[in-house]
Amino acid sequence: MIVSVRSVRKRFGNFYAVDGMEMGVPPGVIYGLLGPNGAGKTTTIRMILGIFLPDEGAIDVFGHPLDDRARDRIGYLPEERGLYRKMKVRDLLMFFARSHGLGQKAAAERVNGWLERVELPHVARKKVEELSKGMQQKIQLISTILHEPELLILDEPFSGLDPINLQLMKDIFLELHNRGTTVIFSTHNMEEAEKMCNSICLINKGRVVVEGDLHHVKESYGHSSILIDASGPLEFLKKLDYVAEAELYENYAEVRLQDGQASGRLLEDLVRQPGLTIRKFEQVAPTLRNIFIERVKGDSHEN
Amino acid sequence: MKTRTWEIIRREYLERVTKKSFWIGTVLMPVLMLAMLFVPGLLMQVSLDKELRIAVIDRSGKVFEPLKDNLKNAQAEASNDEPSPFIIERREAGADLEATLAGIKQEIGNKKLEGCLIVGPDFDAEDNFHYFGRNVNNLTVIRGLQGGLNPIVVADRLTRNKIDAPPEKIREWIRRVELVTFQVAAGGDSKKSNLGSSIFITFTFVMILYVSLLVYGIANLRGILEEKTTRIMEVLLANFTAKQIMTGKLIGIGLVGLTQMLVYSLTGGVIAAYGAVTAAAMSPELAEGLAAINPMSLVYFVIFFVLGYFIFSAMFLAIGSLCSTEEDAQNMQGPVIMLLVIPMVSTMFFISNPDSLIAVIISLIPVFTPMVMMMRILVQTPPLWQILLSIVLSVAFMVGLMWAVAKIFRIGVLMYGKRPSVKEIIHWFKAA
Repeated sequence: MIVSVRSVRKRFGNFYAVDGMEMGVPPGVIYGLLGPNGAGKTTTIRMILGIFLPDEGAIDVFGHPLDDRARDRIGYLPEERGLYRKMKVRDLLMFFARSHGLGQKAAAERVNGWLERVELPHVARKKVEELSKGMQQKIQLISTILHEPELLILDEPFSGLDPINLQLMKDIFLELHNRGTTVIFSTHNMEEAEKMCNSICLINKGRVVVEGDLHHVKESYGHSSILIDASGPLEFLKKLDYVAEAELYENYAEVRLQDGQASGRLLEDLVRQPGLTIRKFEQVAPTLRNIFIERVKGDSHEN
Repeated sequence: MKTRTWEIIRREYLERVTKKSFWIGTVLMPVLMLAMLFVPGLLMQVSLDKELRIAVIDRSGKVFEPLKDNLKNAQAEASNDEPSPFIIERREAGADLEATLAGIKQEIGNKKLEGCLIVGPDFDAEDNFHYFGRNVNNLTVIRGLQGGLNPIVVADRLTRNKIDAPPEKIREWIRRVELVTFQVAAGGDSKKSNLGSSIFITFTFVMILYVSLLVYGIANLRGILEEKTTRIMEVLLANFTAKQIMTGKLIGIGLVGLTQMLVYSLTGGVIAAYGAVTAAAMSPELAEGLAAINPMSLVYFVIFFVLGYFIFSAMFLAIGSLCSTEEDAQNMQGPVIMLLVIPMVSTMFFISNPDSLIAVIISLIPVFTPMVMMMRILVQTPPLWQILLSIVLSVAFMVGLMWAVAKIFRIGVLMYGKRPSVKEIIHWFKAA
């Protein structure tokens, strides 16, 4: 595991922002930390980075408790972004590159290379405060990845970006992913996460709701629905013992199976049913949003 | 750890030293200090040039003429080619003094006269000499008139006691005693030292110490505040530990302060070597005072600057880390600034009573040690054990303070919005 979070709790006053968190980020994944606002995403990220110390539990990064060597291998883009406004762009980027252990020469090469890449070599000698907001976002992004981190941690990376920078951000971060960088990013936007991640962790009220490979999570936790487009008698669907719920319409039915039931069985029963014309049989994967809502509801029922 | 702290030091130092404003400040500061020394003198001369028309009602009949002579002579003695600013004109008391005075007051009010001196008949009476003036705080007028009147009164007393002498003799007889002072150091060595010059040197050093502790302490506060308000702090905290940020900032800005002092002493040295003669001519006290500085004092100055810098900057850093806005910071920095202002405004007391029990005690209190012990050393070298004790206490205090500030800093830098209460801060100590 690149990052492992074990039984971690963090209290602010009398409130547990993170309350028994268990997380494991395997190498090379794009790991989405998902949850509503206030679920504990930023607090978890800050503890992984050593900005906050956990009250209980332990966190390992690259297999050890966080140290300066590990910090050199991490790139972090916080939700609240900021740069030294009075510094010249080049000096600022050099500062970040060197503070991650790059030598003067290597740092200069990287800085020049990245400024070329984002088409901003002409601002190198300007002060940050003289740049437009979009340019500042690019500089901030570069400052995060200059040292080619093995682990990239992004807190709500897509919020507040203009469309051009949003695309640039996604390109760069997929490019790094293809080169083997592990990416952890937090978001409250489930649709976004479904498109980008291959591993997810859904959290709520400081606890993990569901964690794991995206497809696996969808299969095992989501109740996928089956859409049946057919004419003929469909009432029998409600009587099948493995069906949890069936909504019937004139030429159409939406069926939800009970946990652990394979859809094949339903198809077999449909085929055996006399007088039925089946035009379409489709299994619809559950959305993360649905899984989340379902699981969180389930949680509150248990409590 | 080393290289990371070094990166912070490097950034803090270079960002400041390569700024135009740093060099402007570095050049302006000595200019301002010199101006503070010379401008009052120049201003006094400017006011001397003015015409001071004064009416004299001489009811004794013995004062007017000699006063006129004395005022003229005083100007000549001050080795000034300009004529005396005093123009005195005789007025008669008339039948009704009050009425005459009322008329004169009108003239003073209309600025036709600077003032009016009324001399009573009895020189030995307590309230024989009255002065009505437009500005009774004008020392040129008051001192000038007193100086002119004194020999007249003394001569009159002598005459009444059957001692006759010409006015020049009397002036010579009543000349004030000047003490030639020698500063004796702990070892028994003594140096000729003018009272004025040692006060002057002490004030200069204390002023430099005060200004630089304040300026660089607040630079620390503002630095942290900037990092908080621009939200860069979180990026920094992911790259560095809070301790690295704090240490780097303190050392980086401290080095800027030392650089500035180095520039001062180099330029000061060059000026002293190049224009020592000119300096001596311009201000003999300055030249004498500089010659009287004990080289050991300079070593202590550096020690106390460094100690004071760390103590005060750590406090300012803590404040910076607790605040989220300029206004917050301004409110909270007041008490810390007071700790610097109190010894500053009491300089005269410590110069006059460097050995008093209260001075000894205060100079051993770590927050006051840098300034007060420095004053004591400059005026009269205290026993070595007191100096060493004050250094040891300050260092111990500094270490404890750093420990506490590190804790506050660590939690404070990520707090935004409401300023934490004292209760919350105490809670952090338990938690962290």
